[in-house]
Amino acid sequence: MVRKKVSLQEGSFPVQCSGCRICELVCSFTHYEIFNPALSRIKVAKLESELIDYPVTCRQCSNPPCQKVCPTNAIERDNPLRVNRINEERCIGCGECVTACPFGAIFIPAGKNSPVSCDLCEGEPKCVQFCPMKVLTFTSDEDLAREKRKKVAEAESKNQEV
Amino acid sequence: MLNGGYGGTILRVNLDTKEIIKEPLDPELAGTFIGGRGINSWLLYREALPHESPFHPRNPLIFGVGPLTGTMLPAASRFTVTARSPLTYGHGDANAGGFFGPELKLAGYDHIIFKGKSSSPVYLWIENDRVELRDARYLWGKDTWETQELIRKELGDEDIQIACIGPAGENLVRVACIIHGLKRAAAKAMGPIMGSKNLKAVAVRGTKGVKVAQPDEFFQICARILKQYQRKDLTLYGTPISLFYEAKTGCSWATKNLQTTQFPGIKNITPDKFNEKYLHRLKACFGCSLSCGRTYIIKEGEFQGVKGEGPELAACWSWGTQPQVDNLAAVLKSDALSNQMGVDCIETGDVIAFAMECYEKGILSREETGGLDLSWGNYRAVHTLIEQIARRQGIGEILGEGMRIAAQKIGKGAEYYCRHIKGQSFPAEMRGKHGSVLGYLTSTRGADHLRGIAVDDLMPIKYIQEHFGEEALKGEGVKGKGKATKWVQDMTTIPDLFGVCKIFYVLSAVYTDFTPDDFARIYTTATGMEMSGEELFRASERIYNVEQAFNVKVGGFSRKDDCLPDRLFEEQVDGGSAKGKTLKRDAVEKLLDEYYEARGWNKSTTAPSRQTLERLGLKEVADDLEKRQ
Repeated sequence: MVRKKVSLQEGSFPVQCSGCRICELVCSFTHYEIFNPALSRIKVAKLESELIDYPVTCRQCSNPPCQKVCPTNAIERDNPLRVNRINEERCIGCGECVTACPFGAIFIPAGKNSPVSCDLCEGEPKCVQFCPMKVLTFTSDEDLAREKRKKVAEAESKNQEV
Repeated sequence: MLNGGYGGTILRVNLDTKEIIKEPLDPELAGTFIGGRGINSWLLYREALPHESPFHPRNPLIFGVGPLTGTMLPAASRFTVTARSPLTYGHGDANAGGFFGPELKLAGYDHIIFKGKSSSPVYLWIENDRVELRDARYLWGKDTWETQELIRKELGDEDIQIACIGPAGENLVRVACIIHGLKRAAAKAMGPIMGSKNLKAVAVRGTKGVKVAQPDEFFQICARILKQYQRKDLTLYGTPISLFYEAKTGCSWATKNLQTTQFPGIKNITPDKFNEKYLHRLKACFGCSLSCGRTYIIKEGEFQGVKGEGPELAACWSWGTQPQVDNLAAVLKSDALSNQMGVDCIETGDVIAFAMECYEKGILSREETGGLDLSWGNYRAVHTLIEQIARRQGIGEILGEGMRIAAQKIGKGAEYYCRHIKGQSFPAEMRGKHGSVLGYLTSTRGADHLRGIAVDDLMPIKYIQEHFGEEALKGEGVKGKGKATKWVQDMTTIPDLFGVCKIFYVLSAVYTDFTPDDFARIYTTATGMEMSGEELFRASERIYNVEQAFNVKVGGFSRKDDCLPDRLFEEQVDGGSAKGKTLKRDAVEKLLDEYYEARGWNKSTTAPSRQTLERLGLKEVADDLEKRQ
């Protein structure tokens, strides 16, 4: 099965992340029926003085460091979408997974004991549906690479015409 | 019962004793005044000292968010700051977007009431239930951007949202504002009120979230608005998009202190030029799909290294068309500098244009300006003045008092060139536009384009036609204008009560499509409180009347204060679509008569009548006003 993930694909202005955080709102609402960015599994990293907004969520690694370091084998990915499911009975809340993730995409929300990360909303990620700037995509690495190959080919064919 | 939307708690902070009290939000108060500007205005009416200066320590400074702030309702990003205004001496409030308002709600609060004056500079730190005053001595004198960075560093959290004052607010400069983020500004003279309390900043981190009462229906409404209401052109160009229309005719609605419309240089500062040369990235407020903001970086030339967020239309007027500066990089420098210093770009730009005209007319000499050459177009002088105003240096000492007081101090006929209503200046042309005239004149916070938002250009045409007649739509129409203005004012108060962005709701045309019933449905699904469109509309009216009652009782306003500068009656517009127009006194009086009648206000005192107040459930306000007379 093809592994898909949510990723940021910006184009030329204004196809950019605007930092509006609608992804955070819809994510927390979908999972907890509350509007609370703190519980969202996608987070917009904001560097105000650097003028940067950058949404970060789970990259659905094929060799996930979070799973590898879990001392109690609480992170299960044996499901059709191959997303992280935290077995809360086995999870001891040690936070090793948080340390191991290079992206900060798995974390323990304030007031909770176990970590969370993107579950792709059963294959229909709401953040992608609601992103007003249409910069979040739900795609596979294979498709992404294919798109890029197409663009290279297009550019190449234009060069030849000239 | 409050089942959602609201945070449920009001914070009372006594800066004299450092005592902090949490009060539950009374559901009846919430149902009556809704929230945001509404509850703020009522609290001010109840708790302000009628006979003391706006700077009196025991006068309140109130922050508030609405029941929708922090939810997924598009553009629910707003907070309102309310106090007695040191510019008008009447009701004062200002509203800003960004991320501060939502964060306050996410921490569980609806309003904060500050009273007293701290013996040394402090800032308020709110982290969910934990609330404390912290030492701000090391922040005093720092600009607004530095202040926010230092607080985040001190507290070790990048996600903290902060509203603060810069040097201008600290120095009690009347044209100072409160700044959140790089440019989100609550202006209308709220900055010096914070300064007068030795309150440098309010910093918030909230992780509690906002629940709504009927999640499924509420979510569907949000989803529908997000899908149906877009403005691609605003995403691309932001609010300065209006400059295109001005540039087409070579005429500006706001140039040279309104003595002319001619400014050919306007073509050099239109937003396409901005996008081409300085645009960095898009920048939206919390939960907004429109994204009218953007950031910029200047990479070369005289202003290399300048960066910031903006500029909005008003800033383009203040730093571009008003002083006739056609160097876009210099406009951006002014924009960044005014935000860092914490001065309101509208009021400050207006007073600088006024000083430039006084200089042109020989009323201000080069000696009096401290050697500054205030010729039109001299952007270096504009930059110097922004700093001087913020720091109360040189001529800035006088100009920082706002146009009305500055004109009195300068004297020598300067008053004629001064354009203000109740002490609050206005940036744009209104001759030939009776809707603007009436909207600005009867705004409860002095001259203002947002109370009866741009009644000329953005009216829901069909509704006005059907209810108030064809003439109400005409630029110089009189009949029906008063009634229409009242209706538009009450309709556009609703976003202020909800804590959502008026710009989004008006420019995306939600408010032409949505009836009061639709807005009431949003309120009910979020809060679980029953509300009809009629009741919600009445709440808007109620709040407008509370603010007017404050203006009469505390501000001492009457009909004579609803007046415009003589100049608009005596001089003709010299170009553009309003060419040759002046205002006619009898027309303005007729406009006002119809408006007061529609409002149920006394035509000479402008006080809301007992009958009006009782209809709105404000018997105690009626008793209060009677006692005063």
